[in-house]
Amino acid sequence: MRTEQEASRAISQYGDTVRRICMIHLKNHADTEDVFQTVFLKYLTNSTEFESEAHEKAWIIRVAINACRDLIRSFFRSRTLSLNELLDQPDQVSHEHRGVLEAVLSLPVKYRDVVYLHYYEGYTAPEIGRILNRNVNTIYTFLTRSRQMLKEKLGGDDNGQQNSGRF
Amino acid sequence: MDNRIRDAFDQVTASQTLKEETLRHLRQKMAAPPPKRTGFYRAAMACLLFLVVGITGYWFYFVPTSFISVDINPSFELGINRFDRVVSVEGYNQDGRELCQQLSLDFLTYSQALEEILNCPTIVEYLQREELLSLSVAGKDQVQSQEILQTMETACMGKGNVFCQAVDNPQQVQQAHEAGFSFGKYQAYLELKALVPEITPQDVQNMTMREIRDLIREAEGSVSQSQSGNYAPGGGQGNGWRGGKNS
Repeated sequence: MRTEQEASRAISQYGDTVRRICMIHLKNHADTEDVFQTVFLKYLTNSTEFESEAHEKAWIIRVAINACRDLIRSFFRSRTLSLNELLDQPDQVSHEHRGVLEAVLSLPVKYRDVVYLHYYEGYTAPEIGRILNRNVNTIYTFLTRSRQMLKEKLGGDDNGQQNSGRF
Repeated sequence: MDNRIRDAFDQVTASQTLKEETLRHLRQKMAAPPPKRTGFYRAAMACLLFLVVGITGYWFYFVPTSFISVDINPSFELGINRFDRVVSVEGYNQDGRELCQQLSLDFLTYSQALEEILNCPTIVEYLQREELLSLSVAGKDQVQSQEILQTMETACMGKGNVFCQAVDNPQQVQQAHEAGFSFGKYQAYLELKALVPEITPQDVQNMTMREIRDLIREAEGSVSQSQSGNYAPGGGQGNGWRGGKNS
């Protein structure tokens, strides 16, 4: 079991990451709170010795995604709400960013995780495969298709340099 | 597009309130005593209770407190529970087992069972052929045994060739079973053995009660002659003949 200080540090360090994963999967703030508590309670009670920060972050991401999926499967999960209600401070999100997030959220669920992990967290397809416990070729397929769909939704202004066509 | 996605996700952050609320929740969890496994213990207690009630109930209902031995040549025993119900029927020879299968005595009261037995065509036919029916009762509960004996005597009233007795020594019941006899027939064997010491269980195994009683009568006759005519009818701890060839 970890100490309160370690848990506090993890919340500060990975809170935003967990929050973004929650946004991808969940439909309201109450569910997000549930997943937050689940993830960091698991962190508190888990005795896994992490080899590095990257290892720790990957563990948090994996646990958060699983917690979201469990909650979605739960009979008691809450109903769908708008993006405004998904965001803690909706007024601070610009019109353009809101459009991008809505485009990401309009993707099939299986694509959202890979989009977030690749485009935001910067993981490669093999790394995403390990985190999501899926075949790397499947990840490549998901990334290609989601990229195509996002291009269509966002107008195809592909100005990214780092990841264009390379996963 | 990569930058746009990155910038958009950058806008999504966990509020301070959410972080603080999560930390507060973790503190509460840490401060709370480990959850007692009340559910487990309750389930275990319920199982235990169910088991105890089940075993006690089984013992209370299905363990016989008295036995009735029914012997002509068919020999079988009825186990009677504390509620005066027949809870076991066991044949002690081939005829007895066949008769048990014919009669449906399970869970009848012993008085109903006796009525069924006495009115059973097979038994009636045996009695008409001048065979002897021996009804014996044995049990740890003396009060119940006495009540059963009285019921047997009442049921047999007016019927010929029927003999009712109580066996007071429970050890004889066990010895009878070890020897492969119903205890009613074993009681008759003991009576005969007292008069004819060389008689063995094998000698009487296939005898009818009539044949055993006739041998007892003959042996008693020869003993009484040798004892200058001191004739003592019946014998053992039974209540003597309630019937007989001429009754």
